[in-house]
Amino acid sequence: MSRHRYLKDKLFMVMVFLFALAGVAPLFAIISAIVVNGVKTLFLVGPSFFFGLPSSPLSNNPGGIGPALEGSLILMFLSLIIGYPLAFMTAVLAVEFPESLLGRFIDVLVKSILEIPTILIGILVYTLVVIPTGSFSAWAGAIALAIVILPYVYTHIENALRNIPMDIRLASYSLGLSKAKSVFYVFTSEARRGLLTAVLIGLARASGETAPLLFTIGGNWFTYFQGLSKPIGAIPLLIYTYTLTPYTNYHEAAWGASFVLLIIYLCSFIAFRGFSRL
Amino acid sequence: MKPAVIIEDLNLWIKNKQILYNISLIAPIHTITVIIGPSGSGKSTLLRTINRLIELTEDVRYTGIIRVLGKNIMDWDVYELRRTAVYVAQTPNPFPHMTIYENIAIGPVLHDMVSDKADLDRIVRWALEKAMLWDEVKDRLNEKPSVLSGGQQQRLCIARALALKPQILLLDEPTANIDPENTYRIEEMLKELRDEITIVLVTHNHDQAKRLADHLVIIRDGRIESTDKP
Repeated sequence: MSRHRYLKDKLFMVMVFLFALAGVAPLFAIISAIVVNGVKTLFLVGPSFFFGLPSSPLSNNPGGIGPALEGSLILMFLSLIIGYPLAFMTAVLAVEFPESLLGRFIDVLVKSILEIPTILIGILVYTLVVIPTGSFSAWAGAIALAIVILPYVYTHIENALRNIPMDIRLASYSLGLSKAKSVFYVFTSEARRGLLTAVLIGLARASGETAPLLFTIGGNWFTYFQGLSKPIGAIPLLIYTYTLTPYTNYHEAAWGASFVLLIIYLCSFIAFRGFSRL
Repeated sequence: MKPAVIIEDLNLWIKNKQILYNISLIAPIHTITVIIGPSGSGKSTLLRTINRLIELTEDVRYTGIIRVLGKNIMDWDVYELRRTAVYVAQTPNPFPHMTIYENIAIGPVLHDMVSDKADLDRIVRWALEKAMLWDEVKDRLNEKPSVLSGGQQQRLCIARALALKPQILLLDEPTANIDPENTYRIEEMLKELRDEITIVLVTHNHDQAKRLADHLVIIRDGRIESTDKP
């Protein structure tokens, strides 16, 4: 290799390295800021940060995020309960009946939800659920989150079902099993890794969404769960609300809540990677 | 001899390309009918048409009449037809995430053929014994089929089919890519099974055809070249 070519090759490698670094630098900046400030809050408050109630605005103590943390977990669970079966059935329709008009229509429809700003989903649920029932509620938030996670969960389930080898399909149908039995007893067993991944993706998405909750859950930070038809809290909305206030202790609480959210997200991501490699 | 399968003037197209031309044949009950021909001659397609598995292929259409146990295949419930005339593929395709036991049990369980666990255990053992596999796997029933050799996996697939107590077994080159010892075992098994089950077997191996066939059909380029009338 000539010296000129060698230098060009080295220059290219350095540029690739620098651009890659520039790409991940913001991510590291965000994570390090959250970790540094979040851990500081956790040390300041102690374990009661996870279970306690918020403090008064001008207090020296950031207070706890107990109701918001509980609300987030409830909303994650509820949205998955609503969204996962919908995503599963639509994915089955799209994969097992690809020729059907309904299957193709639903495929396009579900994937198009990805392009809709999530705040519009919040407004839709506000119109359809919150106004008619006259109250912000856990149900409204869960429905909004279920719509938001639907295309993500759907895509993973669809991929999992599509990747079932043809010889497995043939084996199932050659035993005289119907489509329904093949899907529920054979294909789900073969695709279980992908189906579990879809659960984790759904949980991760639901844990971090703020916009759909603005118009739906009412942001209840001071009382624990009172019922599905009552307002409820959630960590992302708490972070958003606290950062808009001028109070230092609320800002500290928002950092701590961000750290908790990051942990939930990372746990989901690590589990997702683990399942992917099984 | 009473026919198990009758095919009359079958023509079949996939994506507007004709694959089978004017096929007519009879597979007598409790015999081994061997369909032999070179690769690409339409043997497997013909086999899959008998229990309508071919309908899983895109853009397929066919004309003619196929009768299974005296009844037009279009008048059968398709799932009942496939349970009665079970197809076993050329490449062993056990369900990889199920155990050896579950692979056999899934058919009888989902077709409501068993009353309790003991009944299911009996069927699983019976099927594995019929497939000459019981002695090799009886201590490994809870292991995945990946621990078995290719030949054992193929016998597992045949046992899975037998567990459904089918009346017809459609075997698509069951000994292709399998060592001579397993080939011998499968052939011996088929000879024993013929008294209870009608077997339609596709192969391109002339020696195997000679060893097994009660009734031989030679197919070439989608047309029947010759057949010895049963």
